Amino acid sequence: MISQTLLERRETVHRPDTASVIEVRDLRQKYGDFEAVKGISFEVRPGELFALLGTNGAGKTTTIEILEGFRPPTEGSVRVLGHDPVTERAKVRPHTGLMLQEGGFFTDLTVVETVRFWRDVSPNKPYTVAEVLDRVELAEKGDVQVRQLSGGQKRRLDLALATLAQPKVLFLDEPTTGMDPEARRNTWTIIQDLVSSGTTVLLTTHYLEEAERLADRLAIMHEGRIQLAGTAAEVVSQQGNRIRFRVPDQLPVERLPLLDGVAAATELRKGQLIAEYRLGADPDGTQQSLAHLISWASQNRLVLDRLEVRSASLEDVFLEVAHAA
Amino acid sequence: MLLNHTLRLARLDLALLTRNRMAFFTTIAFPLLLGCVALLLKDGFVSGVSSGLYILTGMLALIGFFVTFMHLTTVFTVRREELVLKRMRGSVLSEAAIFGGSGLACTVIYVLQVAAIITLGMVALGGHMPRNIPLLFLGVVLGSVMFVPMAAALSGFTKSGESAQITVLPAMLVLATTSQASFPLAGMPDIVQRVAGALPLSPVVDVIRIGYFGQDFTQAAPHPAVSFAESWVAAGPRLLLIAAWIVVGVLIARKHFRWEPRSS
Repeated sequence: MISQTLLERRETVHRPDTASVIEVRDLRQKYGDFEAVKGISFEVRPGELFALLGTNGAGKTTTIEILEGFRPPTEGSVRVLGHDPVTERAKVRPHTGLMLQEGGFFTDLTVVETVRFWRDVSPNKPYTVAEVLDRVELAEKGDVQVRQLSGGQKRRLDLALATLAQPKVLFLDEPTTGMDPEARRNTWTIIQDLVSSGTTVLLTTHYLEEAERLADRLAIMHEGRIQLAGTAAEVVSQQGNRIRFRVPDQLPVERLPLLDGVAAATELRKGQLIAEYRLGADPDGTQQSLAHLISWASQNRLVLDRLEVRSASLEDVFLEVAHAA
Repeated sequence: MLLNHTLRLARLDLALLTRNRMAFFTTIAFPLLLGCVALLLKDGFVSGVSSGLYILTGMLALIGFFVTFMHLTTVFTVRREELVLKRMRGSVLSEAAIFGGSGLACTVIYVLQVAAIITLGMVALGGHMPRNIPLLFLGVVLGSVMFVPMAAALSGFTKSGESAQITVLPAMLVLATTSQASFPLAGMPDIVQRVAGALPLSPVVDVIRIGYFGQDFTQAAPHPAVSFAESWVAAGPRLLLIAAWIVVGVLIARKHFRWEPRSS
């Protein structure tokens, strides 16, 4: 069900009208016989937030780590601010901030000492240590050793370190994993503020809501390839609308009607059989299908419990990509 | 920028040393205890010099093994496994600053330990001021520098901080017994002496003893006395050997050092 238009885009996500801050061309990465990234291309423009979504092992972290300069690609090329992040490290690093997926702290240092050290070695110091800690709501933990912080607090400290120099390019590898909902929303605000001030962000995440809320554009990766890309609205709109309801007891599935030529897909959820029609994106067609369904139910004296009509969500698209491949 | 980063990293490493009991023991307490071993051997002569001072000057070289090599093997391994090296490498810090900072911190401690142990020797063993202080400390500093890339290389074969204590053991046994830090090899076959003399710690021992005693320890006992200027000449080949081991260490480290955990 993945639209052909978007499938055609999966290899190349270019917006050549503006100079790119991040460029990835035909990137491949092999580890022995295993190919983690299988020829992907995309660009990220200045001040844009680009999200890489994908299942575990999709190749997101490999891609972001190549862009961070941790390893050269097996094939293809990457550029950050016009430079090769591996061979021209010294030109790239002063302008980038990165948030690792986990760890990376001197755990015997306190929070304040950690921020002070990384601030001291940073080329730009737009914020004081207190301001940095305040922004990620760790001011009260200043004298606590890093090893004593919770997982979510460590993620916030990591974000503080990644952003303390107001970088031109920010790499965030699953930034809100382990955070409570409040901290997650605060993190989103910080990221949005940075983007507003011109920082370009490449983000990987498992949280679709995060991508939907933050990303200007996104790409869904699966098994080393970009399967879909575009704005969240573009990606979702191609997936059409959904009508869903609980199949009435005693009603054989074969008796469910076709709607606009589409048969219902059924699945068992918590002991209840749910029918779902995946329709086109045209609202008129969806409305007619809904009217037809209700008419059919009336004629057959059926009550359509938990009836809902909605647009496809990013989660629907994501799951479809994961299951289709 | 490089100097600034190196100094900040060295200061950070010194601060961290005081917060980790194992690191504190390896770099501060144990080397001082080693220096005190010489106090047990006040009487007698070895290789033409006081046995106490012979051991003491040998310990000056050997403690570099613990302060720099053993400590940094652990530090690099732990930092790699805890992704600290990855974060550092992803920052503005250059590789030279990362290694230089840790190496500088160890070297500062090593130099202070050497000064303390020499003072101890003067007080407790009737020792004297080194005859060539710059040469002695050049040997100390180069010895420490030599151990930095070697520690980086060995960390590549080391799984965890705990196992670092084990992976350094073979090197410690070989170097401690072949370097003449504790006893001379004069009675051993010529080939053994030649091979032992070429191993990394041996030239450090020789340079330190030439600097301390003002005698040419590259010559067989009784080691001839040398003037201040002659001591540089006598130590020259041994300094070059240390430099060669630094190059070898860098080459091995380039091949085997790992920035990311062994599991990744």
